[in-house]
Amino acid sequence: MSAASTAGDRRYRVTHRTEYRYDVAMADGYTVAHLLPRDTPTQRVESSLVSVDPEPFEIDEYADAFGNRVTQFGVHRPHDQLVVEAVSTVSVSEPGPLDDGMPWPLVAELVAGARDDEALTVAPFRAASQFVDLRRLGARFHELAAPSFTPDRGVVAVARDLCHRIFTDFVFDPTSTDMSTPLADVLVGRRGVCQDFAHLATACLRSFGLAARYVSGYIETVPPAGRPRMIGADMSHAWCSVWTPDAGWIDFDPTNDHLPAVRHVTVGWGRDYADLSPVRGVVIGPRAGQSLEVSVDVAPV
Amino acid sequence: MLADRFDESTRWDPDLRSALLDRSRLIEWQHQTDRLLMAEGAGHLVHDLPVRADGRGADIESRPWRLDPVPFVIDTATFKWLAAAVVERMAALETVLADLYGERRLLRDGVVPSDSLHSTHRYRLSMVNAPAPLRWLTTYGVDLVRTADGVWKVVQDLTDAPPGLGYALLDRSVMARVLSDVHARSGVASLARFPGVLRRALAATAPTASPRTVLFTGGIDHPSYIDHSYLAVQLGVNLVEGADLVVRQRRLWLRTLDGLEPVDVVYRRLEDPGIDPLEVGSMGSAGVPGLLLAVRSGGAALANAHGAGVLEDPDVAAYVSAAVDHLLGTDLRLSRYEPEVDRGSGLASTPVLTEVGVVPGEYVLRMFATHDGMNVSVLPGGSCRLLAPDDRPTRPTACAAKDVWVIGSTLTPLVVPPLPQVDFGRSVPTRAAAALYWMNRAAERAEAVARVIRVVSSRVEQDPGLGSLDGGRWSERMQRISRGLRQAPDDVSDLPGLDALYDELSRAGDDVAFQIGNLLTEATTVREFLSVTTGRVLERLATSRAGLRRHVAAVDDLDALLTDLAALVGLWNESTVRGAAWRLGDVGRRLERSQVLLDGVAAGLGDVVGDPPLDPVDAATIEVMLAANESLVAYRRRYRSDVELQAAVSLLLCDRSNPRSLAFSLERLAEHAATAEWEAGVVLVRAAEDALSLDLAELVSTVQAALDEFGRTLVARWFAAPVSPRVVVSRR
Repeated sequence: MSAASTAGDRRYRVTHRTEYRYDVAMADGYTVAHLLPRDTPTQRVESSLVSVDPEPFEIDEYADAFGNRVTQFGVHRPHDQLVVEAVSTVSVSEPGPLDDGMPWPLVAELVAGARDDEALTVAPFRAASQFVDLRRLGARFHELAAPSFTPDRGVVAVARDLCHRIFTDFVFDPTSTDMSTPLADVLVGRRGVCQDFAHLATACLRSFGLAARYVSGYIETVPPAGRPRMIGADMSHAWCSVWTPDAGWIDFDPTNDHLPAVRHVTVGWGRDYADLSPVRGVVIGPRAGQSLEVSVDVAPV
Repeated sequence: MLADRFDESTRWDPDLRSALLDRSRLIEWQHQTDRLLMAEGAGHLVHDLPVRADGRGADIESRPWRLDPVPFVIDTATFKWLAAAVVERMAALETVLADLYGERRLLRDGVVPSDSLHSTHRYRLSMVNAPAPLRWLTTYGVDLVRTADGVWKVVQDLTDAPPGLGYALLDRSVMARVLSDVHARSGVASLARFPGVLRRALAATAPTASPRTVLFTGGIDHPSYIDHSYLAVQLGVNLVEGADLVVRQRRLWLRTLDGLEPVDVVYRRLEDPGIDPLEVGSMGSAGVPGLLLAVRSGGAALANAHGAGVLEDPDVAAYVSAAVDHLLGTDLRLSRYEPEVDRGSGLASTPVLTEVGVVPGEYVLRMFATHDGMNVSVLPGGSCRLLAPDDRPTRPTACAAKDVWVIGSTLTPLVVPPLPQVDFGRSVPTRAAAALYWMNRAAERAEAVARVIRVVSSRVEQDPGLGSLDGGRWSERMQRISRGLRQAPDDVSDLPGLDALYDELSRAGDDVAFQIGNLLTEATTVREFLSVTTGRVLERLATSRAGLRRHVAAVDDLDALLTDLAALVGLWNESTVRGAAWRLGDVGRRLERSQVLLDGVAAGLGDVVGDPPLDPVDAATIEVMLAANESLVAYRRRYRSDVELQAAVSLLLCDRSNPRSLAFSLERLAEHAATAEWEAGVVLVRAAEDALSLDLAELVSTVQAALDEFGRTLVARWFAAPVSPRVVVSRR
């Protein structure tokens, strides 16, 4: 477990730059981005800004169904490149120590029977979603996670064990998957990237009737002296969050075997990647090649 | 003849029964309905069409679809009971939707399971707690079956974009014509007022006083395209596709030739996941980017509201009754059809004409309703689909439908309040203008190539010796003209004698078929601009097209084809309101005709030595050129002499009084460019006109260059349209 969690605030400046280049100018382009971090019980956003080049004709910011910040903009004149850069300063306090939590069968029962506000805020994260295909793969998630779900184990202890199991049994391999790789292939190949592991952890928890969110954000780039460099740096990162009746949502990071998640900056959460893809959109123009470069820098300040 | 279970016809009035089940008349009626549906493009949608002029593929499979000549008959009392049940159900579903996206008592109280609701992409999270629409359901459809013991049950609620209303109206227009005598004396409730009621209801979904409404379709590739286009015509609203609409500053606009015009109400015929590609859980690049942001910001209203389709998800539909009970404390009159329970006892049947005569068939009845803000109106008709033996009622595979007759004169006619809106008036959606332009170009090219085939084959028919005239030089010249007109590379064939000529004429036939395919594809997307009679001509062209390929077409067939093409031009000129749409169509025709002339002259007359006496091959070439441009008669009337190069060239290129001449076409192009205040176009046409005084070779190349540029500039100026929207995503 991550006994290393130290008290006190950390401040980060996060720069997330996405750059598209088109071989031929595009006539029109529309983009939706999840790049601006939100406030959480352990995170305060001091400043955040998205800038777009070329200057967009219109730009809107609104909150999605989960309260995440969405930026939507349009560039309606010919352009052969599009640069989207988000710069944010956030301060993060690390969560306090956790006990093992309420026995998981009890938590599952509470989630299943959730009423009133909890029916709206917790229960939705138990259902299947686009990237978490419980209908087809539920049994396989269940089988993978079963050793972690020993009878009456505390829900936090379950999540910790599951997190470690994924970390140990699966290989982090940036070449192994892309956006369209389904979890079925990740299960077979036993390798993937942080988004796959976050989906996997989410799916395993949901297959036992727990509520689990997919969390999107960043992880600190520069390791403190004497510690190994963290995997997932210089990219957007993703992890998982499990609901407990007493402590609320507990974040954990199966890619780095962290529970609770530390040195993480949260952009937002949802059912899965589809709710939070950092930058996506539609371009209108002739058929042409395009290239994409993404760089992420998380600097302590 | 009929089984002992409940059959609808047992309730029919004996006179009606004998009138409708007269087998000899039924067979004749079937032929007529088939033919009329064909003419609407509905029975057998034009298929096997080539890529469209703008590069979009029209990949349409053949969808044969038949209308049974025996209508589905409902008596007034039954209809009134059903209509009341439909009204009740629509109101209840409205309440359920408002709760699912608003207060969510159904979730808070555990009546609708969270997993069922949240597992379906049809529950649109972006609408949860968003500003509520004025109405979730402006239109509603419901599929009903009747069990063998006569009880009506709901198979499914259609709350997203209930399909089939256009077909229902179309079926009626066909049946009323085919069965005119029976229809007229049976007291069938009229559907004629319903489009007006619907138009009013659509207008009432927007807060604005005089909203502008469009019908949003997926285009010609959508399986229900005919349903959409027929309905748009009946409603008198613009039929638009994704590329016609654009969102700017949280407002929705229609792209027209005159610029962007605001749109207030979108009658969407596309399901929720297909209307905005920026939305989470959308399908590919279909739809209008930003549409839902505009809707949430009050910049447009959707009918039905985004998210209404959630009630069509089977896992959610299963809880509708419980939800209604929880929210309203009522039981609905219509209960749900439970296949395992109800199927056991079988379904009621209705008489159907088949190859073996009239037999009982199981059916699903679809009823339609619309809410205009004050009242719900139920269509006094509907669409009835027949079930094949192993069909589930939720998914009929059958391609057979029935018109639905509500019989009895005691129905209160629907009241249509006057509509406060003035629709788009004369504005023309850019895409429609482009389609009309390409349609006319294709028609002109098809005509030119067909005419050359016709002229050359009839010459050979009359005088087979032409094939060997001057060592085959005549035959080679004819092939060159044909290749020139179809803009093919001038590769000399190595086939012997007339075989080479026949081979070329056969290829030219393929080319005519290709151009007619283009014409039909474009025409299908702009049916609301074309007259009913034009529809008949298009259907004939679709039929002739099939017989053109891979052989030398018979002269008679070509004559019939040319007559149809001429009818198309005539109808276009006589039945199209003079405005921007007509103007662009005429520009397309004049531009293509000019290019056809130049292609023909370049290919055919380039080698003709003008000094008399003409050698026989040159003389024959000039004659063919004149004939191919419908100018031989004019030539003979004017000159009353053998053909002569200079006079022929002058008649074809420079004679402003010859409507087939280049000069005449250029004059029209100049007028159109001037009317549209399109300066660049005027300049290019003027350059072409100035070149008419040059030597033949120089004239051809200069005018060709000017017109090519004219065509390019025109597309960029008037149609510069989204080419192909594509989804882009960042990698993780």
